[in-house]
Amino acid sequence: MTSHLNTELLSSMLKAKRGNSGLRAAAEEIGNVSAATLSRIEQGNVPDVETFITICKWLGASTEDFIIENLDEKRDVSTQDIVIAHLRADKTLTKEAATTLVDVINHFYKLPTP
Amino acid sequence: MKNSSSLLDKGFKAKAERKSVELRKSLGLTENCPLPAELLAEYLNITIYPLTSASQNIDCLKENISAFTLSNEAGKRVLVHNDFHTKGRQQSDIMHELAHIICEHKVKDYGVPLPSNMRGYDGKNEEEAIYLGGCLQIPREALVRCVKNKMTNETIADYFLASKEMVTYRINITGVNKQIFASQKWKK
Repeated sequence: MTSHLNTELLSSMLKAKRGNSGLRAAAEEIGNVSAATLSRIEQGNVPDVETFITICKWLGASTEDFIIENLDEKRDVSTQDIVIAHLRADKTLTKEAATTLVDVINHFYKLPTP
Repeated sequence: MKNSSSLLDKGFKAKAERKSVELRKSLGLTENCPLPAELLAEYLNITIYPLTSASQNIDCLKENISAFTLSNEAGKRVLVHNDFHTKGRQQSDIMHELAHIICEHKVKDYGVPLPSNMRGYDGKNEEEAIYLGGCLQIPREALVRCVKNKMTNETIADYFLASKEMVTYRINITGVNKQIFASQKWKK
């Protein structure tokens, strides 16, 4: 079973806790996160793992609270079985990019090599 | 290009420079030779694919993905890189991934549930791969010779199949200009 991030919930909780504080002040309080990254996450982009864990700690939430299982999963290979050794990408990805990346990873996982 | 190397262990830089020369030697190349990333990948038994060879529409990925590696269903290591990038950038993208493999960087276990569509980021591993990737493309001593011979950054970039940004980064991070200036000062 694969899953995806509940970006709406993460975004709304971030905005709620930030309240009237500016992005820069909130980023300083969270630590190891830039104001620009925080803004992109509030807009619904998917952060990398370390940023996500740091934000969850600040929110006092478990990472599990933001995970949605993909119930209409059509792929016959769980992406979690595929270990991505390294991925060089931007700090945040749009939801579309994050989803497309999972499909692309599956494609190359199954592609027979010469 | 990032210049920060504060996360690197003592001795890593010297080790990385030696590794670049050692791998060239294993491939029958001198330390002054350019090293095509594809040649090194073949030597390391890694298959390379351009991102555009995927069956999906990857327009939304072309601005924010550089490369990734994985072990495929048959257990073979595969490297996928963004072929929308310039040729020089593609070389550095591939070398960066190969550097992770040469350093034997492991996937981090964060110990918490995570969504499938999220990826890890290890700062120290990234700094190591950035530095070693640069060494693999442009060995330090070869760069010293190029700068002493007054080659332009553009010529050096073309020779080593690198981008001009990579040449600038390697000149800065190795302190090559300072070394040459200091030795010329003492000769006067």
